Amino acid sequence: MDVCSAICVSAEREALKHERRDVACYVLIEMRERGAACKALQATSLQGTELMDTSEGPSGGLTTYLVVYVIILVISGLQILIAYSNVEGSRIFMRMLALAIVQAGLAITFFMHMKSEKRNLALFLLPATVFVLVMMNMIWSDSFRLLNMRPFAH
Amino acid sequence: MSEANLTMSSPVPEMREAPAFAIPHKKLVMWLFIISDAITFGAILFAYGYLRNATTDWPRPFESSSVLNAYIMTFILVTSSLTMLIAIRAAKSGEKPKAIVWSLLTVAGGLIFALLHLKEWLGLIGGGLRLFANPWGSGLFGAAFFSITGLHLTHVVAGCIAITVVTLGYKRGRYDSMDLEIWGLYWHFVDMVWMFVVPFVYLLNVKR
Repeated sequence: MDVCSAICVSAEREALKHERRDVACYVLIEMRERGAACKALQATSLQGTELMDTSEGPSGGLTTYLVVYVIILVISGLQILIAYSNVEGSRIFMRMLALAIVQAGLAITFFMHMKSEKRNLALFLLPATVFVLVMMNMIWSDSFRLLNMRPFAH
Repeated sequence: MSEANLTMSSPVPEMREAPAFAIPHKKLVMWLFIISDAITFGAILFAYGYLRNATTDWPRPFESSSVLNAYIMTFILVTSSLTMLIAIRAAKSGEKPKAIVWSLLTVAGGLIFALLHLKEWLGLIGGGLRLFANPWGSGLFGAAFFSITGLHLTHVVAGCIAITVVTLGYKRGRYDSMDLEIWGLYWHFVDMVWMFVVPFVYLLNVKR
């Protein structure tokens, strides 16, 4: 007998101990709900275990890790080439940023296993983080004001 | 006997709410720490961007030797992420000695990274770089450079200590493969931050 079935049986025993029918029913319903919750919890735990097994299981993944590892190092090399190219100003910054975001995306997706986690986790964590980082871009107008108006220049 | 007492004296163990994201709570806590830390690094990089953009004489002190050093550091840090992944994989499949060796290799990678970082710092300090002064241009450069790279270096050293402690605990049976995986998340995050530090702090400031 599994744990959840045991809960249901003990629920019936508890209910039978009580002479008052309403109390017995209350106990029975509550314990059966607990039995159902137990099954739901077990199902969720199993699902979680399966998810983690796919992300870290011994059956695969090393080739993927190696491919991602090489891509990240190649992108780092590309950034150095861009640094010594004739590109200037905001273009060089945007190219560096785009490549860094690709590297970070690969690291989060494959090294940190976001790909094999429940989608809820990514939806819970990433939009809020991106929102805060995007809102920080409000500083640029003041930065350009300092550059162009040069309030401290003599 | 009241209904409340009946419930309290129940022989059934207290039921817990199902985990929301099908991951252990410890792992969720690490993810929450990582996003808060990502925003901290984001803020410090934005502050650096603000200063760099608004300063006309921002220094470009990095010679090609510094860029090569930064690339070697990147190589070591990304490789240590790979060794951490291999360690976790071994731990999940029950190969304890292999997991311990690869975890300690990760720590060794972190320590080599820290030594190269200190070498870079000492070279720049020898060239005249101070926290609020340098011979090349705006004095704010030193504050920005040491703040960003110092915070990252602190994370690397903290990661080395944490992974060593968890690996030794795993060897003794105090921690399991999940604990290694959770600290692996932290280590990959530190690696990811470096992917933003190198282009913005080093490569945008190369000497031409």
